[in-house]
Amino acid sequence: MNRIGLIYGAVVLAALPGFAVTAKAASDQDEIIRRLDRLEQAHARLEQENAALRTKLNRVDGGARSAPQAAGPQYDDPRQPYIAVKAPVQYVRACSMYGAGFYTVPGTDACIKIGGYIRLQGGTGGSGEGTVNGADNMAAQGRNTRFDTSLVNYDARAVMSADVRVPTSLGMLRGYMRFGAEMDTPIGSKWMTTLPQPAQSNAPFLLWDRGYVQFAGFTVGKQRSFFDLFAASDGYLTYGNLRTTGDTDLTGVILAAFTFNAGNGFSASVSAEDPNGHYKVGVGDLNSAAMTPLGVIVPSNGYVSGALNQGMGVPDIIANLRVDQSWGYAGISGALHQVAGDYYTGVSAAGSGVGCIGIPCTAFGHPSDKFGGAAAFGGNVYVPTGPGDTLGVNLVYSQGAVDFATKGNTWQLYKGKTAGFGWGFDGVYDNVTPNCPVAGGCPSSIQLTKAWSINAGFEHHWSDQWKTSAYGGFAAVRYNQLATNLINQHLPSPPAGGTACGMPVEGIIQPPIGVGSGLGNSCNPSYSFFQVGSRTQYSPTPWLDLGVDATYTRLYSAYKGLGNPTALAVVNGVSLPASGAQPSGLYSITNQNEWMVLARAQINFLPGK
Amino acid sequence: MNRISLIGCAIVLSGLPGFATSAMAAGDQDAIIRRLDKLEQENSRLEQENAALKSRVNRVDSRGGTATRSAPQAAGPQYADPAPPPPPPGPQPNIALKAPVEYIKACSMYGAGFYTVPGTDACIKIGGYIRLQGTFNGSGEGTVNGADNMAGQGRNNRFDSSNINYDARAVVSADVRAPTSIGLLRGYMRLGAEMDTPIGSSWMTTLAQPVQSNAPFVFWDRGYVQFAGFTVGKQRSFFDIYAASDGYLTYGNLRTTGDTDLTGVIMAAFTYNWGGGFSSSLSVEDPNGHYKVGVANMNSAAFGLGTLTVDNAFQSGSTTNQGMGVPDIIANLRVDQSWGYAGISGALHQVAAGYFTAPPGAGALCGITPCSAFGHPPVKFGGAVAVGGDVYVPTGPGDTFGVNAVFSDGAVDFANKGNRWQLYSGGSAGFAWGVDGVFDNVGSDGSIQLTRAWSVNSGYEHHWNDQWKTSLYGGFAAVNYDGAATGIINQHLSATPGRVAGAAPVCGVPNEGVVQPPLNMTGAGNSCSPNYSFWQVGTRTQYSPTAWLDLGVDTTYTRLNTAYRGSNVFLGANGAQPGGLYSIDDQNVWTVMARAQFKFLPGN
Repeated sequence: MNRIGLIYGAVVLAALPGFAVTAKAASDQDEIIRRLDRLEQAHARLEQENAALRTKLNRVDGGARSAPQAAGPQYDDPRQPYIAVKAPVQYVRACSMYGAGFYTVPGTDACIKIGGYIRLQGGTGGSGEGTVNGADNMAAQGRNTRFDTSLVNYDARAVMSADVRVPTSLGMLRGYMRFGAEMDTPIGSKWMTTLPQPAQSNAPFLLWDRGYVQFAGFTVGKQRSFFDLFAASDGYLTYGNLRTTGDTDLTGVILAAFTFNAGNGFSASVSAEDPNGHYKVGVGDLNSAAMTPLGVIVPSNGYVSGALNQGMGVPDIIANLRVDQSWGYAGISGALHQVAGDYYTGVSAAGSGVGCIGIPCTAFGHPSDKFGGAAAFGGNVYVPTGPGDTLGVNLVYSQGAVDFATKGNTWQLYKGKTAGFGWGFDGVYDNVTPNCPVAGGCPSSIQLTKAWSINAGFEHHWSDQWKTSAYGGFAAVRYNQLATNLINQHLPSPPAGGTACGMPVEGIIQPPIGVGSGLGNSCNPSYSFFQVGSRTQYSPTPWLDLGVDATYTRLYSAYKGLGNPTALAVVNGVSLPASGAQPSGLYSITNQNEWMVLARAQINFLPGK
Repeated sequence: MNRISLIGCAIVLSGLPGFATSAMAAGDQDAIIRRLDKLEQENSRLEQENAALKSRVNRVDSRGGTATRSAPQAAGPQYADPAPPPPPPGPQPNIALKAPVEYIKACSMYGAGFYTVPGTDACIKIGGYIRLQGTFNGSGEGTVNGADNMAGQGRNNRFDSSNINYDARAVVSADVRAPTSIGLLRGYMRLGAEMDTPIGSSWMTTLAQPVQSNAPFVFWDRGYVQFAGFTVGKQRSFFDIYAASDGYLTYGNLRTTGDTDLTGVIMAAFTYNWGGGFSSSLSVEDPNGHYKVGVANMNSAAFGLGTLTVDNAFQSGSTTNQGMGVPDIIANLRVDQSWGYAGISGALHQVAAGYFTAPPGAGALCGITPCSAFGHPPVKFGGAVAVGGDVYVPTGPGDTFGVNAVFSDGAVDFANKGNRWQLYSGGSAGFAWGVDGVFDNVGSDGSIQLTRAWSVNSGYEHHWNDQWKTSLYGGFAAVNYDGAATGIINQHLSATPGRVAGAAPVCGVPNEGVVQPPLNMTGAGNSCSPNYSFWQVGTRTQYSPTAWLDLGVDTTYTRLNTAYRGSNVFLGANGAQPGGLYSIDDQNVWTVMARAQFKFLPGN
């Protein structure tokens, strides 16, 4: 349309005899100014007329749609043969009121749009879909050896979407789904699809991030959590899968929600959501192998929630309040999240339950259920640096709900003889603490973890085709003193019977980092990290995105420092077991850096959202 | 595109002598000239666009707001940028230049949603559904706790059992019909993405399911082609006549029926239409298509607590693959008329085992693994027959009443899906194991003893009005081992944990070989019978404010009449359930399901 118009404009311009003459004859600018005025007026009038015509067209089309033609789905009745009825020829109508790509489903009031995208993303320093080396399912690649780590990974996807809208007596009934095939390397790097991935190399797996129905204020199905407000995600500002945010945009969450629209763009929602929908980890029973081996986290959740399954005790309850207006949007949200352990693996007093030897067992009892929660504030607004430029920010505070604030629940990064680590649980517990030296300091109840994060992003549009973003986030995971004591009493400390970080050694060794007595070490499992980056994207047409993204990640490690694992007064390092191709030995636990660069090419054919 | 035309404009502009002059004379005129230039272009575009819009409005007006579009001016899909891509360099034989505008025709003779595939005679309908179902005491897709892949959750503790599970699906279907010289050629497929918890609970997808949380998997229940009476591909078994299934009467996945509606079966069938609604079909089907278990070698670890390990020949029904020896042969006779439908069907089903795990004497050749040197039991054939139907009843418009009865011998899965059970409740527990047959060449003759199973299911639904309906459904299934099979199983029972061969007889049978099922008892006061039965009854109420949306709640009560009923049975640790003395007793489960589903012409 534009092209035709522009060419036409050029032709008209060239064909205007008066233009050249006028410009030539009158060097005084008055004539030009007057001409400009006339054109401005004509422009305004034409635009008005254009808007009016569009409105009218929509109205007339809408009227046509409400005519009493065949209504509702007509299912195939296997009992009836297919009878070819002599019907007048009818044509498939466009359904422009919902935008480009929609057409009316013949014989119904419904409109459907088939869309999708095809993407290839490649990069270094992270997984194909943009998880930085060292984080979560990329922890193994964080060892940074040629045995454990790919230089280049990719993510290839072919995704289709369907958007169906039906006017009903309940108002608009809408269904939207988006799924497709994906190959993402390294295998297992992606949380949502970690082991859904076939073990055979080069096997594709299913990508499914949306599938929901909306009616009468309800949203039911798989959709981004109502807790999430703003994040750089899924090609918006970044190609990466940032760990500084707990946003579920990339995967969707199973939920059932109700939204009340208060008018003027204000809305309030209440949502019941799958508690495994965020990057769920859960609680750690320190009397089991919860934090060992290195780079691994094994939760002990009640109700089979989390690790190997996706059932639940109770759903997360989310509430939010949003305002969406021409300047952008902003919102606040809150979440209530059950934190439940399964059964103890032993009893504090000597002896195991009958028929249970070192395994979770109903006979041992369990820590009482707790409820964690999270609160968020965020928004994204247009800024006057240029048309379409935006600035967004998001802030999350959580207790016992680490995954609402961050996805960085496991870290393992090696560089030379230094390494950095992080383990993030919703909470930890341990009922076997006979040697606990802290009065009342080693409880068997779940100690909830605090986590918070802040993320921000800005994007400038250089033109219709070029744009550049700057984004960044910071996340911190904090264990309280009691939780720290519980964890520290499991640290290894030769000689046997010694103490580590002031705690007598107890039960299973974890995390397996030999700090000796703790001399020279922070003795602190708390950790934090930040990620900053910039993405520049060239879209020669709205159908095609080409771009490059670079992200810098810095991890402030847990248990930073050295130690004296050889029981010498000399502080000489932290003793680590072998981890992949990284040999065992003395390391310095320090903060770590990682650069990740991603490039993407993607065709968008009206994928919707 | 834009760039090219802008360059074009610039060339035109620079070709204007006066423009160049004045621009040179007054440098600040540049901005004004650019603005003029832009306005000229924009106004031209708007004029053109408005003209087009006016003509469209007139067109639409002229048809008086009705939907009968008889003229070809109806606009096809309008994409954001309808301009065709620039032609690629080189020969372009396929580019339709200056082709007349054509529109996509609806294909109303096949019903709503069909349209003609441009340039062909074929018609296509794209449909699908989006579903979220939540379940208490069962899997997301409605298998009751304790049954089959839900056996683990039947332990009923916070380590093994979720309170709430869900099943979320996004499913797309395509129905393609093309008139050909051999009559109507039809293809239908329905597939999508699913997340069903707990992982592994859905039989169809057990092995395909990821072990890590929150991973979706592929859902595929239909994909077949029909032509000249043939049906080839994945479709519900021609053995199955009537069942409450897949949202019809219930949201659950009932165990009292062996119906394959929920999954489909790979098959190749031919249907002969006698006229008057009567038809006969002959079908060759995947023997693993039903809830296949197969045959158990009692000299291997076949029966565990909540587990069942079969020993089938030809990789059939195994955990690693599902090839077959010979396919199931199915035949049926149906009548489909305005009052409903009824039918009878029969199935022939191969029951074949792998190799014995030991020779009758001693044989050091293969240890205790199955070994071709040990030989195998002779192949047997089992079978099943069914009668059923669903008819309209005069309690209200659309009300239906249906019934289905199945009898099987050596084909347990044609009668029911409840092939293993494990339900704990405090100090009592219920168990069951159902296989097509058992054999043991150590202490027995080694031939397969076929198992008999039968079931009866029934359902009724009343429509309160166009939007509300309520169903009642129920079924009973029984699995019976004959005396020889019971003897084979019981000789593996154990009186004491860790018993060795030669210990005291249990249930009157001397101990032999592998201990299974691991119910350690003397047999005194125990039923000493591996037979079991169970029933499920329930009601579902559904509200469909429009035909596109289903909202409803379903409640099912399940009762298991356990195998080996009796007290003082020692069980080993099982998940988080500790080892100790339990009473083996009948068990109950209440399951509640709620569903919201958006359907857009999914077809069948």
